[in-house]
Amino acid sequence: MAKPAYFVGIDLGTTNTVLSYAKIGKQQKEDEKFGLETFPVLQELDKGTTEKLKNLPSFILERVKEPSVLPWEDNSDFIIGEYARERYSDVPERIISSAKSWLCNTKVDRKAKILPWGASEELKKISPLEAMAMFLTHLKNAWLQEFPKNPLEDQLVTVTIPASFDAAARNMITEAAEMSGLKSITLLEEPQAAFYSWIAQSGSPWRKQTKKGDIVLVVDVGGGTTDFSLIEIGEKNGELTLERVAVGNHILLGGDNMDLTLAYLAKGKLEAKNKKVSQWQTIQLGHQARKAKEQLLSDESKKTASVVVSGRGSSVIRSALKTDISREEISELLLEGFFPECGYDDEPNDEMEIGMRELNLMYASDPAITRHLAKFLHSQNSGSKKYGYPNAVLLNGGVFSSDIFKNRLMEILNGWLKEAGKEEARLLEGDDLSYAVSAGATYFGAVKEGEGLRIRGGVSQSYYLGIESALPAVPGHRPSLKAFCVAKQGTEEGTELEVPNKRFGLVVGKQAEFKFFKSNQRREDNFGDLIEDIDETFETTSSMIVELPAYEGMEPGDVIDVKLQILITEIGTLEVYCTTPDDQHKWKLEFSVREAA
Amino acid sequence: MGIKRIVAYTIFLSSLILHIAFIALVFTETQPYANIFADIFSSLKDILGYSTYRLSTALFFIIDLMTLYLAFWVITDSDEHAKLAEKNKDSQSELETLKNKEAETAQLLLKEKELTAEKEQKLSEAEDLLSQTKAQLEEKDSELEESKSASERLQSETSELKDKVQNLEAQAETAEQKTAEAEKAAKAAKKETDSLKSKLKKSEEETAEKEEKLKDLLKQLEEAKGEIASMNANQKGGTEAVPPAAYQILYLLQKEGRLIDLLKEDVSDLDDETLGGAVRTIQEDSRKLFEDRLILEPLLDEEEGTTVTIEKADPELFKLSGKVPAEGPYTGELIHKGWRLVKCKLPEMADGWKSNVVAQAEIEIE
Repeated sequence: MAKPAYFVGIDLGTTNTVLSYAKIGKQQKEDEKFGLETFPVLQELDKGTTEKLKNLPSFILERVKEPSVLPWEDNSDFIIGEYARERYSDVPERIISSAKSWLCNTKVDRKAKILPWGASEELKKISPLEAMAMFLTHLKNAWLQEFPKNPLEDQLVTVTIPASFDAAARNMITEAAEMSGLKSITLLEEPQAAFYSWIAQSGSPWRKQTKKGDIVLVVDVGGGTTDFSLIEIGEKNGELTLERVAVGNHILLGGDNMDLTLAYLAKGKLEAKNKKVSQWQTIQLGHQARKAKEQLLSDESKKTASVVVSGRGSSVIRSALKTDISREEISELLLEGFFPECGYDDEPNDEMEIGMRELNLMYASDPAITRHLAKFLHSQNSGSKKYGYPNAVLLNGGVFSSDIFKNRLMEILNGWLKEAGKEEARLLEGDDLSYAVSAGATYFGAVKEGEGLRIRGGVSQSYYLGIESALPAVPGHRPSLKAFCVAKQGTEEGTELEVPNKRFGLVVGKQAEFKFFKSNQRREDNFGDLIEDIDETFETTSSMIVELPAYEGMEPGDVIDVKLQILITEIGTLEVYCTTPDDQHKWKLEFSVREAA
Repeated sequence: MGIKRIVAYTIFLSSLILHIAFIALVFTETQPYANIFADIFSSLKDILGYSTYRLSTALFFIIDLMTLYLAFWVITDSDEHAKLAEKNKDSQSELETLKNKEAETAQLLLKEKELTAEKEQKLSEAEDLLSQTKAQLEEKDSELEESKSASERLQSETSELKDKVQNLEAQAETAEQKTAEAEKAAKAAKKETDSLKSKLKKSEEETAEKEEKLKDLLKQLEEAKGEIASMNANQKGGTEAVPPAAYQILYLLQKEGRLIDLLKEDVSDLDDETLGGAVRTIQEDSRKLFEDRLILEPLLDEEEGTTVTIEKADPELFKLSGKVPAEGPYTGELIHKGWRLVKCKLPEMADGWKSNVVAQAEIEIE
C-alpha cells in the first residue's frame, strides 16, 4: 500500500453521501486550521450532463436507456446520485432509496437482492449490501479522477455509521467497503463524528465551553434516522478526556418524515377541494411544502405560505394546484408532532399509527423525537453513575438549522433538568450542521494517528449471548434462556477477553441457533455475568443459525466442552470464539444477517 | 439276485430273529412267554426223561446252529456268484461292441468296392467323351478356317468403311474446332462483360461510399459550421446560429422553473389570482437558477434613484440618456443599476448538446 496522503471521512447517510478530506501533515496543532475540504463528487445529471456536487444523494436508479456519461463507468446498469434522486418522483419503482435503513432490518436477508423493495420482477434488483458498496465504489472512482496518484483505497478512510447500528450492521458496512475495494476502513459513530467536528472548529472553543465531569448529549437528526449519544468529559493526568458512555436505539425517524408530513397536509387540503393529486404531485408537494416551511420559519411576520404544484402538462398555470400552509399548522404538525412537550419518564407510544408509514422498513411508530429522547435519558440512570442528566447539548442535522426546533428541544430538556433539580444544559454551537459528520470523520482520521484528543468509546452497547439453562424438560415449554454478558458497554476496541473458570456446552455438527441480546440500559452488568431473567431492558439483536463443524473424534450433535473468547476488533466489530479447553479446536460465531424465522 | 439267495436270506434272517426273540423272551422273563417256555421245557423233561431231554436239547441246538450256518454259507456263496456273473456280463457286452464294430468295418469295405467300380465306369465314360470332343474339335477347326477367310473379306470391307468414317470424322472435327473457337470467343466476351460489370459495381459502391463520406463530411461541415456559427454567435450573436449554452439555459429554465411553459401559455382568460398564485412558484424556481448557476451582479452598487457620476462614457457599460454632454464626467440619476453575468455554472456535457430539444416529451406508463 502506498503511503496515504489524505485523511478521508465518508458520511454514508440515509439520503446523502458526503466525503470530506484533509491533507496529511498540514494539521499539527489543534489551534491551526485543519485544512478540511468537502469533495465535490462527479455524478450524472439529465440530458447526458455531469456535474461535481458536494452531496452524492444516496439514491440509485436503474437506467431507462440513458447512456452512461461518466468517465469511468463501463455500462453500469445504475445511475447513482442527483439524477436518481430527481427521478424519484417519476419512476419510483426503479429507484432505491434509504438503502442504509435496510441494513438494520432484521426481518429480511440483507444480502438478498430485494431492492428496490416491491419492484416488479423484470427489473434488476440488488441487495442492501450491494447498494452500500455501490455508493463507496462511486466515491472511489470519482476520487480517482481528481487524485489519480492517490487512489482512495490507499488513504486513511473513516466511514460513519449510526451509533445505534448493531454488530451485524457494522460488519456489513466493512463488507461493503471490501466489495468496493476499500480494504481497510475505520468505522465511527455519527454522533461522535459530529462531536469531533465541533472539537475541530478553529479556536478550539470546546475547552472553554466544557469542563471536567460534564455529560454532553449529542442529538443527531438526519434525513432518515435519529441518533442519541452521551459523551462524558473526564480528566487524566491534567488533560481532558472524552468517553462515549451511551448510545440510543435505532430510530428510523428524521427530517424526511417532516417534509412528508407537510406533503400529506397539503394533499389533504387539496383533496378536500375535490382536486385529484397524483403520486408525482404528492412528491412535488413535499418539495413545495418544505419551501413553505422554511419561509414561515425564517420570517416571523409571515402568517401563511402558499404551496403550488404546477400542472404536469405544458399548460403550467391553468392546471396548477394551489393551497396554503399556515404558521399554526406548521407548529401544530411539526412542533407538536415531532417535538411535543413530554415528561422525563415518558415512553414512546408504540401503538400510535401515523399516516406516512412505509411498509417493511421498521419506521418508528411514534414520531415524537422528544419522547424517544426521554426514554433514552431516563434509562441511563441504572448504574452507580447517573448519566441521564446532561450538562451540555450538541445538536446536529439539517433539522436544527431552524431555531424553532432547536429552541423547543432545549426548552423541553431544560424543563426535565429543572424538575430534577439540575442545572440547565448549555447548547454547544457547531458551525456546519449538514457536513459536520463527514468533517468529523476526517478529523477522526488525524486523531487516530495520534494528532488530537480521542473519544474513548468502545462497544456501543452491552451484548449478551443467550444460554439455555439446564433444567428438567417440561412438555410445551422451551428451556428458559439466560443472558450471558459477552461484551460490556464501553469495552475498548482491540480488547481480547476470555471468560475465566467457566465452561459451556457447544453443540457441533448440527444446526443450532445462537441468540444474541443487546442493551443500552444495563450499566451494572459486567463481562461474564449470567443474568437469569431476560426482561424488557434487553433487546434481541441479530441472532445466528449455524452449523459448527464437528472435528475429528466428534459426532454430529455432540455437546463439546468449550471456553469463550471475545474479541472487540480495532474497527469496532464484535467476534465470539469458542475454543476447546486444550486449544485444539476453535469455532467462530458470526453474526448472521437474517433473523431466525 | 437269484431265488435261492432270497430264500436263504429269508431263512437266515427269520431264524436269527426267532433266536433273538427267544433269548430275549426267556432272559428278560417277559410274561407270559417265559412261563410258557418254562412249562414246555419242564413238560418235555417230564415226557422224555432227563437224559433224553438233555440229549435232544443238545441235538436240537446243534441242528439249529448248523441250519444257521448253512443259511449263512448260502448267502455268502451266492454273493460271490453274483459278482462273477456281473463280470461276465461286462465282458459279454464288450464282446458285443467288438462284434458290432467288425460288422461296420465289413460294411465300409463293401461300400469302398462299390465306389471303385463307379469310378472305373466314370473314367471310361470320360474317355469316350474325350474322343468325341476331339472329333468335334477337328470339325470346328475346319469351320474356323472357313470363317477366317470370310472374316478377312469382312475386314477389308470394314477398313474401307473405316476410311470413309475417318474422313467424315475429320470433317466433324474441323467443324467442332470451329465451334470451340467460337465458344472461346464468346466466353472471353462474357468474362470481359463480367469484369466490366464488377468494375461498375465497385465504382457504384465507391460512389456510394464517397457519397456517404461526403454526407459525413457535409454533416461535419454542418456541425463545424454550427460550431463556427455558435462560436460566432457566442461572440457576435446573430440569426443563424444558437450557441449550445443557449439550449442548456433554456432547458434549465424550463426544467427548474417551467419558464417556457409559462411564457408560451395563453393566459388572457385567466383571473389574476390564478395567474399570480401559479407564477409565484415559477418565479421562485427560476430565480433559484440565477442564484445557483447564472450568477449575476449589478454593474453599479449605488441605489437606483440616487445621483451617480462616471468619468468615461463606455457604451459597453453605460447607456446614457437625456441631455448627454460632449465630454465627461457625466452626472445623472441612476435609473437601472445594470447586470453582468459573473459566473455561468452549467453542468458539463459529455458529448455536447445533441439536438434542439429543450424539453422532453413526457409519457407516463400506468
